Amino acid sequence: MTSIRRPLQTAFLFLDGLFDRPFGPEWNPLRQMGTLSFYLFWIVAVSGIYVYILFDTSVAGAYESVEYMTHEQWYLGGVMRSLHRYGSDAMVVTMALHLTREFIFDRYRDVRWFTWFTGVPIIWFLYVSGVSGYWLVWDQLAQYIAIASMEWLDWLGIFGKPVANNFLTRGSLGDRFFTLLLFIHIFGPLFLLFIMWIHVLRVSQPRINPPRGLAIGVLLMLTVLSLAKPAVSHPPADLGTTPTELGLDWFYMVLYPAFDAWGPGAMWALAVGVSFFVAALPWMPPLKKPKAAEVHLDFCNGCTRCFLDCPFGAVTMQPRTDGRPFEQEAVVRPDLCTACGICVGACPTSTPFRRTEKLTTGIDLPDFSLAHVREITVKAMEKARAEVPETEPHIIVFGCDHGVDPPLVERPGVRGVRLPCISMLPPSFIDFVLSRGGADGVLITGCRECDCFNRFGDRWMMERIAGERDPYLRERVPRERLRVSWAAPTDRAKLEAAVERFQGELAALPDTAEEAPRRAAGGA
Amino acid sequence: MFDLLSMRFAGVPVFYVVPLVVFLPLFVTIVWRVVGLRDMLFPPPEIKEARERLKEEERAEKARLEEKRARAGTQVKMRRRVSLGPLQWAGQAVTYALFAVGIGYFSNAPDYAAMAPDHALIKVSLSHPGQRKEECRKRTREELMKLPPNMRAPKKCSRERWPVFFEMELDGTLLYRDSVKPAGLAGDGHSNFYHTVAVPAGSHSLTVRMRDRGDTEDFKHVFARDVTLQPEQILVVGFASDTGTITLR
Ligand code: HEM
Ligand code: SF4
Ligand code: SF4
Repeated sequence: MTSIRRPLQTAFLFLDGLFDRPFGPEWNPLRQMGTLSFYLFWIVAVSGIYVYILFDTSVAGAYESVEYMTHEQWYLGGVMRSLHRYGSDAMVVTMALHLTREFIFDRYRDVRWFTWFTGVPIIWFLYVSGVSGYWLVWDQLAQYIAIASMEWLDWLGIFGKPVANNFLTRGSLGDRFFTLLLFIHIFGPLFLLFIMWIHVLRVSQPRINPPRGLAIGVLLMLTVLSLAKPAVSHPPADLGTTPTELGLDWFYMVLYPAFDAWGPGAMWALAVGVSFFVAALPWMPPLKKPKAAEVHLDFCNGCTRCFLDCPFGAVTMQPRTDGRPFEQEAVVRPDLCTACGICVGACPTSTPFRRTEKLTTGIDLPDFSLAHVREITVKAMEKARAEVPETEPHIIVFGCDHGVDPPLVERPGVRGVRLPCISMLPPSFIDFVLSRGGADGVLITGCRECDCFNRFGDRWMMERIAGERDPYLRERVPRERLRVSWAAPTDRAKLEAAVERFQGELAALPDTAEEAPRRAAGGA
Repeated sequence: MFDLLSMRFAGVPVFYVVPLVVFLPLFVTIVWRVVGLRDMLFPPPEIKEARERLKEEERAEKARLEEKRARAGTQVKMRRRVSLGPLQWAGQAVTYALFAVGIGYFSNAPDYAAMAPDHALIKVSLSHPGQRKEECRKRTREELMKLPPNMRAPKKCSRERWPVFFEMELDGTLLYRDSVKPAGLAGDGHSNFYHTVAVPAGSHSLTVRMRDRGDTEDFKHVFARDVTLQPEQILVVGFASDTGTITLR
């Protein structure tokens, strides 16, 4: 599976980069497919309510009422109808890209299985909602699509008599059955919304709304499209004849030609088979993850920072159990923890300055402890120093498992330290590296902005550096010796260039050369 | 009797008012003096002074930090705020336009030929119960006595039915042939046929045969007729159970 994903990741990252140029990282629509899907749902819901007001729910009147809103009231009814159609179509695209992206970037296994798994019924309900909408227009397309859908359902043999018989001859279709179709189109989307809610239930601090710029852009785009190419109907349905040439909505009806060719049995096998296959993907194979984070009560004061920062909602705060005079203590739910280490970077007791024999902290990763982080950091500092003369700048590059591997950008005087996630690095480590004379500069890297594998790594890091989030980087840390350069695995050249530029800038700083001996003397 | 509970003053039960009269002043006093609403609304001069001092200190602290930052020199560049120039806006517009064209186009194109235009559609739709596999027979006296009293029906009927066999030919070539089992778990329901087949429009001779029991090769119902089908016409082949005849609609 990983071997399939690699080239696809490269392709996606290339496209991301392309879209970053006009949109910038925050507005980049490729990173907002989930939020856009939600947003399109609201557009479709609002336009749907308006269209419903003008809609005649009888077999005889349905077509005419849709014609009325399209032609007589084109400026509002027509636009709403078009928004309703094009919004739904766009939702298929955004959903498909969203799930492809989560798959390609391996964000569907391990603790994310629930979100992935509940995504599968979303696909079904989106299709039920979209297809049932097309029935209501009661034009030739509706006739074709309704009969084919019913024939497909009849294959199950769960209805006493074939439901397709409701469409047999002129006059077969009664208002009661038509109302039932309308109900499917109302309850389908309601269930869809319900499952969308379940879908993000286990995502902590889920992003539901797209950034404003993108939201305005999408609404504008759909409105212009609605005016330029209003959605129209086919000729009215006639159950005495059968439609031949049809302009399908390929987003929702791509499977109907296949249905005509292969028949209902094959289509059931395909639909159910693919659904089960997709639903089972998180376990094919399961992600082998390191041990979950552990809380060391002796060092936990119940400050809630780890609870606030954990991107997977794996930390809860519970009443104190050890009798120490704090109200709460952190508790990790191992089944939700991905061992990203972000909580370690958040804990106020995670500081490398402490002189205890063994470095311990309130919350730590058993497989990648804070003590280990300090150890590899100190080693990197020593190595960097040994490589070039004291007067030349030394840099420590902190990176993560999901961006450019830091050792790849090493050069004389530059050493990399790789963490599970960049936000595992407590800001005090930056202070530590710079003030103990270990290095003249610290460069922070990790996944591209707004695209952190652990969801919030880049954001928390920036907020901590900016002093907007605890624990913040101390004021005394000279900012001119700190750089941030986000880089996906395909951005190695860009990161190398950033390192080189940084080295040049550090060399030009007046005090690098003078201070070097003093820094070294105060060494770690 | 002097009844406090039902006494009213201007329509309002006194019973409501008395506790208010007693407790409201007490409550107000407590909030005013003890909780400190007075000091909050009209702070005494010393508190005002202290506040000013605090503000001053905050301002000083801020200034100190600003200065420090300035001394620290280059700030770490925070989020790369992409300044959107005309080129970026144009790029966005192009992206949106391409997406819109894609959505607009595939929402009703390219055309799909659901059926060739010079064809007609024959739909077989009928629902007919096959014959019972066993005839009903009278129960003997002994059999009846063995049954519980509430189940002593004089006749025993196996409810299972034969599957219905159906075939249809057009101009002598077989179009459709199927044998459908009765619906229902007990195999006692109707056999439902639903099948569609597209045929070239024009004049044809149509033959339909049906039998509703499996222990014979003879067809109980045979139907032959010449039909003329218009392009796109739907012809429904059915069965009227009441008259026992095959029908065309
Ligand atoms: C209308 C359809 C859908 C909507 C509106 C939607 C929306 C969302 C949202 C808002 C998130 C949270 C993103 C975040 O805050 O990080 C999310 C996450 C996710 N979605 Fe969907 N989704 C949809 C369909 C699907 C489908 C069909 C699948 C897969 C079968 C899927 C798989 C996932 C996964 C795996 C995540 C987890 C990402 C993470 O935890 O980092 N989604 N979705
Ligand atoms: S390691 Fe990551 S997922 Fe686990 S508790 Fe800490 S922040 Fe949450
Ligand atoms: S951040 Fe550290 S001290 Fe604060 S609650 Fe979590 S484990 Fe305890």
